[in-house]
Amino acid sequence: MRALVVDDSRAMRSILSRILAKAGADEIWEAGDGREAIARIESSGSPDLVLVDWNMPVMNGLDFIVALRRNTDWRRVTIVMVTTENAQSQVVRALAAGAHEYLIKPFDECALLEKLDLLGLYSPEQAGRSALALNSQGHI
Amino acid sequence: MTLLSSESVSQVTREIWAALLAGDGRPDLVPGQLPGSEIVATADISGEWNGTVCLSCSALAARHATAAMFAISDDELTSNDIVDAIGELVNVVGGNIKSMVPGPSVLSLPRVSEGTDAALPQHLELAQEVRFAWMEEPVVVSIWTTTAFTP
Repeated sequence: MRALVVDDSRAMRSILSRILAKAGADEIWEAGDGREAIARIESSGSPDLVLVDWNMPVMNGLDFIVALRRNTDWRRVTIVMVTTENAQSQVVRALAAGAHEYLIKPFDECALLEKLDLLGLYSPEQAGRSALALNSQGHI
Repeated sequence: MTLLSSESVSQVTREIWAALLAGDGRPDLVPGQLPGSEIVATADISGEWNGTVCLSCSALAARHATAAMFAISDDELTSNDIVDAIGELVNVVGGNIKSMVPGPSVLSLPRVSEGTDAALPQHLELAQEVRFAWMEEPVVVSIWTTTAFTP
């Protein structure tokens, strides 16, 4: 799985990236706003998953989702909005724009992994097998 | 109990600490009265309700929080890391406080001031303040408004 984390906070990107690594993401890219994220996708290709914040400078998360969905090459990207915006009207706007799931900050690791499980991007059983394989190779 | 009761502000702040800063043996946020606030981060709520959410803490608490969020040791931190991490914390606190006050409203991007001259909001009225201790360091969440908050 290739994942892109879009958040203006490097600290939040770090937290999200660590969870994605645990979920088995092979590649994790980061961007500080929507425009930077679009540039990254244009240069590196489409990721399988995007985690995107709402409130960011330059281009916010909602505008980013709209831009992403306008491009037919990127329509298969799975999008999870990760934000403090918790009004029902905001959730509806994000889903209508093209987000698949919505996660409200603060969240814990289990909450994000459950969302990825729902989206078919993470399997707890597979993660358990990976950990066992690592153990048997003496890497942990 | 008002929407901005000390209990509700305390609860949301403790949930944020537990979600973002737990692990590696770090303790929970607990009520406390400790002196010293050297880092001040604010985020403004504008709309149906107007005010400022403020997170202030000691420099050491800010370092501990930043190290936890970046999962690196204290001695690897830069001042930019601290500004980023404490800014994100006030952003999350502010976003959750925004849901407790009349809307619709928008939350500004966070501002972080470092140093002993870090200033709390001026010309605003204190609506609520909750004081905590975390790793034996002070953490204070305060909410300031242009008018007294009467839901």
